[in-house]
Amino acid sequence: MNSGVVMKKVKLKARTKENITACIFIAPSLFGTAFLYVLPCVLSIIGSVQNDGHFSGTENYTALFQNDAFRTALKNTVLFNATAIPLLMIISYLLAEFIRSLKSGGAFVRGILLVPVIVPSASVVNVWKVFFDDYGVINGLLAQLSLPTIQFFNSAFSIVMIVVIYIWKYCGITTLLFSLGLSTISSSVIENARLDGATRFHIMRKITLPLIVPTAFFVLLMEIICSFQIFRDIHLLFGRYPNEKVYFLQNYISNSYYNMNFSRLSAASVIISAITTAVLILAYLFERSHNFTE
Amino acid sequence: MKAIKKSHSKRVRKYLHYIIVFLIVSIFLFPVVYLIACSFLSDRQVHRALDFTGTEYKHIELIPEMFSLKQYYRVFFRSPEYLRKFRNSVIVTFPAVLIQVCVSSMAAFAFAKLRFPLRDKLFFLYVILLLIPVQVTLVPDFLIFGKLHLLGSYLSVILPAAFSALGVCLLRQSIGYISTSSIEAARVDGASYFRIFRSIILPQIKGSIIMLILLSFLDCWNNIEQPLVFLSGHDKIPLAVGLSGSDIFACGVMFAVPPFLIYLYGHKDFSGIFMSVDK
Repeated sequence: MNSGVVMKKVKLKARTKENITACIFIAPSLFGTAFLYVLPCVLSIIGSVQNDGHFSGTENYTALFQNDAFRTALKNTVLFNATAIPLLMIISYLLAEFIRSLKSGGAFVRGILLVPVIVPSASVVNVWKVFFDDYGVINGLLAQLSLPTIQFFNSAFSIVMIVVIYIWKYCGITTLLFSLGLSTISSSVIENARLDGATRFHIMRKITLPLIVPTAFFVLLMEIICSFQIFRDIHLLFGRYPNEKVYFLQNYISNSYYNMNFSRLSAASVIISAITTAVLILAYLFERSHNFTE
Repeated sequence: MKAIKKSHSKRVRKYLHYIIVFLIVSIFLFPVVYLIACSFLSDRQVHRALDFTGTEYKHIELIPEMFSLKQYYRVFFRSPEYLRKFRNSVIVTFPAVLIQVCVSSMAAFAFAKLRFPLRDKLFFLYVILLLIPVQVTLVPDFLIFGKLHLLGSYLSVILPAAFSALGVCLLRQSIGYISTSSIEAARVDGASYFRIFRSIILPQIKGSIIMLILLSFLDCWNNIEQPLVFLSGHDKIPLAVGLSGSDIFACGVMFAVPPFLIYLYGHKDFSGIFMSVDK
């Protein structure tokens, strides 16, 4: 009886000790995060419903949606994400499948694919300028084949250029993630299916694709994080005021910053976060309903 | 007959594989090869490549008319602004990476292996923060740093990068794979939590830590948004923002060297993480 109480006391003591240690371990990170990330986010949300220090409800939001520059930015951002993200996912999945089918040299190809991730945007931006200029290498090729040339820097093709750069840059990471996901699918299952006479396409559709859904969710996460960074390339290629086809929400926010319009800016930030969160929740629900691994 | 046909199709497939590998390698490597080649071109060729006003189509010139180190010479000895910006990049990046690794490995250990109230809710917060674009916190950060008189100082760029949520999320994942029983055994033997962290956890997550070093280094090295807003108009601008002029190819190569060195150094270690891929 007595020893039971002592045991309980020792356990309780160990528990508090664990709690205190945990607090010490997370304190620096938590402090920095709260101060540099959580507080700013809260300030953004508060700022978005205020005007000159007064509560103004949804006024900033309605003003935003009536603003042409904002609408263009929103449209372009949605268009970019709706094309680039699925495209990158398909390409990197196919690449991962291809690398898996290689007998040797898979590690080599993966290493090569990672090179664009390592090279800073600022370093290659001039290569892109030489390639995509009105009289650049690509247009030179098109002219030689007597095809019409494309003004990449000043037409609807600007967004194509950005999508190409985005895929080129981040394909390595996503392919790596898919390779990891594919490696967890046991090859005996696939072997059995093949012996039962399933075609390659069948195996892909019925076995690998359903099993890869959790990985695909993670890849989506990564792609969204990377898609924020495409602003850097746009800034380097076009400067502060890109043409209206590649005028993204991030540009809008940066420019509102230069115009010192804080309330409008906060509202735009909240919208950008809301969209990302909504996409992720949808993807998460999709993953839940298609998750066969559990 | 059938066997011959089969081996024939096998060979065709093998060549097809080689062709696809060649295509992949050339697409993903070519811009980088071109960048390096351009850094050795003669001034006349570089001028031709960078002249965007002409009406003559550019050609890809990989082989220099005259192998020239002039660009590198100018970057290193003749134009101090390149080196100054490079130094600024170093000053901004190294402390950020160091703080990020120390702080997030500790927090990740607590999140993965210690029990405390609100643990999972707090971690969920980190995951959400990971998905918030940098522009959202840019302006509030500007206001906060303004109050603290940190605007225009390197700290205003270092701090947000040092406390990004990436490290905690990444390292918690890999610490999660370490078996809890080894930690409990060490506890029974009287080891303190700090000792466990140092002697059991850290050696086992070396690969992930190097991966984190590379990722946070890249993030900070390429950072444009924050220096643009917090440091503009000062002589503290890092190279990612201020890479311009006539020697951009050589300077671009120089700028790409540090991340490449980290990648080459850590290559073996984080291929350990992906060991299972190659089976």
